[in-house]
Amino acid sequence: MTHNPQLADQLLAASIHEIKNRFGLMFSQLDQLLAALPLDDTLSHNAQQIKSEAEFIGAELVRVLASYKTLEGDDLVNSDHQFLEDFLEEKVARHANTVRAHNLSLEYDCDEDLDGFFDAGIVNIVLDTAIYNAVKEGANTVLLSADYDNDSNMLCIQIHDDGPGFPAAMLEAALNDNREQGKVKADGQSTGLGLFFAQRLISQHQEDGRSGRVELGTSQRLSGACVSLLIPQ
Amino acid sequence: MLAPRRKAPTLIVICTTQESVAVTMTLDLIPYHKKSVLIIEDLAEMRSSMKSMLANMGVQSMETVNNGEEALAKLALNKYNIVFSDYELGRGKDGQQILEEVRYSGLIPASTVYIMVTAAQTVEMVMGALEFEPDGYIAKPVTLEILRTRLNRIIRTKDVYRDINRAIDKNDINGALEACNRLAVEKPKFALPAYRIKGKLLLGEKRYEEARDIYDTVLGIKRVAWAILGMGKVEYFDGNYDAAQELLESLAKTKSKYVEAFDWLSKVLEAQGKFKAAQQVLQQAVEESPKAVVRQMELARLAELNGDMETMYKACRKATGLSKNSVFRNAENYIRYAKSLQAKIKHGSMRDQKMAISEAFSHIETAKTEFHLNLSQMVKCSLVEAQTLHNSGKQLEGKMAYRAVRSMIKDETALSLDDQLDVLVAKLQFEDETDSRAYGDDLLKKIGSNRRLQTKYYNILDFHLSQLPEARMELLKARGNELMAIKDYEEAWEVLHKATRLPCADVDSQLEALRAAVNLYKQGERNADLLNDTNGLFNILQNMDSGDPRYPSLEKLRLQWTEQTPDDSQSATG
Repeated sequence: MTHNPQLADQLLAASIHEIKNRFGLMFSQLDQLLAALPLDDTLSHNAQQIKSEAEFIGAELVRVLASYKTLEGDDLVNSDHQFLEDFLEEKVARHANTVRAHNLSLEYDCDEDLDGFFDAGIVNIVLDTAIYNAVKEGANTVLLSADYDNDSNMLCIQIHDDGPGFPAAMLEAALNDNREQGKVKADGQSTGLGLFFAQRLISQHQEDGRSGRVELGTSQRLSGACVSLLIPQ
Repeated sequence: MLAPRRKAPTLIVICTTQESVAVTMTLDLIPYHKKSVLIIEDLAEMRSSMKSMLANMGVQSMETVNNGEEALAKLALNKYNIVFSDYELGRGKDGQQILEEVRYSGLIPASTVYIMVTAAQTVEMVMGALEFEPDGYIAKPVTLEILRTRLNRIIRTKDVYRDINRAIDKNDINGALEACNRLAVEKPKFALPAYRIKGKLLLGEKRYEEARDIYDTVLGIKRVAWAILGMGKVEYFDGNYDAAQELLESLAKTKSKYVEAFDWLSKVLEAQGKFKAAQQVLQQAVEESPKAVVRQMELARLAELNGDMETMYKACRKATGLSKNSVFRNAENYIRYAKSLQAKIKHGSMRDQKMAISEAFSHIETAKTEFHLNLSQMVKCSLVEAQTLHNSGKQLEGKMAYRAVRSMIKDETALSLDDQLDVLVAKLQFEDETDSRAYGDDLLKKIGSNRRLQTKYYNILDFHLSQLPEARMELLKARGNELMAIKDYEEAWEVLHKATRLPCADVDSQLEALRAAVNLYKQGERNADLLNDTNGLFNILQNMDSGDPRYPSLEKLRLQWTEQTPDDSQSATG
């Protein structure tokens, strides 16, 4: 057998794509099935968890595919005009099952007039990654915020949580440094790997020589972590 | 950035663990009990689920249909405030086609809220349809939270454009333009969308200079796709084809989801006489979005122009299927479809022939009986009928049918040059070769410098002479020389390279092809096929006797070629 890593990659990508589509179909069937069943409170909560997990898997497959494409060197960015209030409102509504399954409080906060240019698909993926990370770390409250920095001409979307926050080592490591990739992997922290790819995805937003970036920090609004997406405008 | 940013943020709680607090107060003000809704959805479970969710939100008047045909019938009869259309609708029309037809025929007022329900992976496709776009989309899976949030948002946004849409519905374009200006000033957040509508309205009114101002302003702020497309259209209408091509190519390359950019790029290329390239671009667009019927018809027309019978046949077949029960159904397409079947009738297998013959007659019948044909269409239709008879072995009937057409044409000048080219096709088949060619020569004179008609003419003759390589060679050489004279080296290379592949290819044709290739390279064209083919031709000619009077020309070309391709033309330098 000849060694053909490129073909192996294509096989995986095509397969994941197929799994994602089939999974989407299965999930919508499952949703209808669960809606039609008479469930008591406990079972109803179980159903919520199933839905939430299914959504997580769906989001994860979308994320893996997008990350794969960045490794392939595909430029994914399709920047469009977005109203942040609409965008964040939908993001929160999309996580209704996450909210119910994990007793989470998910809110958003932004100026109603705030607009910006970015790829909604990419930012959605990164927000999902950060929200699921926060839930995994045990956060009870997650706040999405958006603001615009006139000085740097950057749109800043933040995900705050009340979880334990990032470990110090991770805050020190520069996410945009390629050499850190191995380190993130070696630590076995899937959180770190997810954010590493988030950085790759966001950095595809380019404007006048400036690139988008992801910054990790401590939240000034809640007690836990804060992930900031900075997108040049 | 057009919208000013206030620093005082407002905290809005949208979703907590208690479902009852799922919406803010202001959102509840939308009077859903007064809204009439149409749901277009093929899956029964989804229909009932949408209905129960909408009922939960207070909607009382709801109707459902399970396919595009029924939807169009309902939309023609009734007025709805909100239309939900699934994007994937099984076998019939898809959501995009329904919307295309609805917008094209003005079946719903601008004030109706049209929402596409789509799988997450097709959102880009739906919102990328710049010309026929919905007011919004809802990505599946649709839950009550999503439906409520998205619908509230879409309706409130639609309300922002109320004055504009009212004016559009009254056909008061100036009023609509003023409303756009007012919106941009009063609500700067919506300045960009207002400019977008304004640009579209101005283009529709052929007010290109004003449209240019709008797109200039927007592009000065941000290179948004719709403004690039808009500016591309302005440049096209102003005849600045190079500028238009550059804009549209940049859009087609980077934003493949904007399929409309391909349509306009194809128009620009056609206007520049690059018919093959125009067809290729449309073929790309068709692969991207195969269900747009007008695009398929355009592709069929271009393929006919280029003499590409196979593509013409496929596009006609697709267009006929897609336009069934729609406003886009037309006689022209049926006639073209019958034309495209002639190659199969002539050269196909027994089974193909049989099917193609019955198909062709059925399309001719449809064109004749279901449409009111004008003289030009009548001539075209009757000519293709005569050809079908002839090609299917009924020579005598064919000839009689042809004579009937000839008697129908009392005054040749009543026919357009396009129609006369159709007459030429039939003449070549039914009349004496010398007479027909003389008719062709006359026609070519009348065509003058019209590139589109010239191309059509040469493709007709090229097809006609396909069994006569020598005559074909003369034709290709003549065309190649004409193209060389007007410095269209790209097309000249196409034609002359075709000539060099004929079994009777001679040194003159090879030299002429090389001349075209070298000039094409001088113009900056670079591609691997051209490089290989050219090197191949130099190789064929490498043993030319140095006493041959053409030898100096060859050497000169070889020198120029080496200068153009210093790194990769070793084989040419021999």
